[in-house]
Amino acid sequence: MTMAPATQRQTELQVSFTLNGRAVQASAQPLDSLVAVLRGQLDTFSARIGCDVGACGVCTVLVDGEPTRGCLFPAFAAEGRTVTTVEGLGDVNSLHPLQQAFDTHYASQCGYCTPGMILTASALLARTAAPSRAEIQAAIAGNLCRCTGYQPIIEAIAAVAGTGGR
Amino acid sequence: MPTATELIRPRSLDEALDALAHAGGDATIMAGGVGVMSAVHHGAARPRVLVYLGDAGMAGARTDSDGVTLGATTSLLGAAAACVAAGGALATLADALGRVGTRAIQSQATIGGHLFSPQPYGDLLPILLVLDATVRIRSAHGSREVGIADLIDAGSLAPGELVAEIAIPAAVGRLGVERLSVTQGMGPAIMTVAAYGANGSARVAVNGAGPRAYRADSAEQAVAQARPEDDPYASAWYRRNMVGVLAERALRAARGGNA
Repeated sequence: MTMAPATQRQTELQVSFTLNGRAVQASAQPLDSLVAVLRGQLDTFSARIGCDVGACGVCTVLVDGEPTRGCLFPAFAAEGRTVTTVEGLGDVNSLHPLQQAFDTHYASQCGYCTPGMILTASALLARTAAPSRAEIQAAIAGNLCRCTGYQPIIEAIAAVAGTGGR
Repeated sequence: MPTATELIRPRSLDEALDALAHAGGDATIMAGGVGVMSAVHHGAARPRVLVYLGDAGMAGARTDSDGVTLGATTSLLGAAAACVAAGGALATLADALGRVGTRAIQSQATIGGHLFSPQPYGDLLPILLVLDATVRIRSAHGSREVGIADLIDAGSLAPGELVAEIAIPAAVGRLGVERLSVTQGMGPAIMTVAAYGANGSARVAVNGAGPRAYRADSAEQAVAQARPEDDPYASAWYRRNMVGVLAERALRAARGGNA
């Protein structure tokens, strides 16, 4: 029987990860969410805090390429991972095809859901090159939009997928 | 000022058991974080000592002729991949795994954490009930195996214990799953009913019609055992009426008829 637990108790942690291709470091308490740290310490404001309980999807970020609820993902668990926000996809001088398509198809109104939508769509296209309309709808079902009625968003994603929403 | 939450990050199962033994009743187990973080943000929990299992090397799936064994911290996505590979009725379980929240939840939530989902969550519990899944519970002092029904009825583990593995027996029969929800792809189910038929007999289990998921031998018995209450998603009246409807449908699917 070993006596000493090899596990120390921490109340403040340093977390290092890759954010949009660049190494970053932040401090976090155990219950701090990833989205709170992105916004509070890393000047990354595209990921929003909406419901804060995983229902609305405006906090969506990619962790190792998978769409993830930034509000439910503990910041300390990002250690060593690759985190992507919409800032990492493109900027005003060089839009990502999805960003361009959201513009062309009027897929963004108030804009609050838009970064999460685009990240969720980019992950869908990364795993399914030519998704059907049903697959697009299923993929974005966890990202709420209260402006557009979803149709322009689906059109924008379908346009980039080259499926025309078939 | 509430006391600061302390985090322990064990790097192996043995370290996790050691940490839990020392923390005793103060410990809250976190794996993916979906349940703990949402409870904290709802104001429903303020863990004092958090034991994080995500680095303890407990994730992974084993498939053999006996069925599928899932490490407790396997994500729902990982569990679905293993169940697809196993085929048969477990492929139907994989479909159900793909309907828990959306992919963002499925990549973070763990199969072990799902066993402790509060109502109205816990869509998979009726499926695990009809498939006779068993759970390997470990502590620094030993190991025990319990049926999923016993774990659900107990509602929690003793201090120092954790769920290490979930074993789902190879299923030769047919699984029918009826998930009732007012939204597509997100939000909790109002009710989930599973039925499994093999060798001419069938069993059924229900989540969302009482304080916890339960198993029954027939649709009639499923209705008789229902103890629904009103909640923001549906009234007790509606739930009581839907138990029988969904149980009939699930049983038809499990017997090979059209749902």
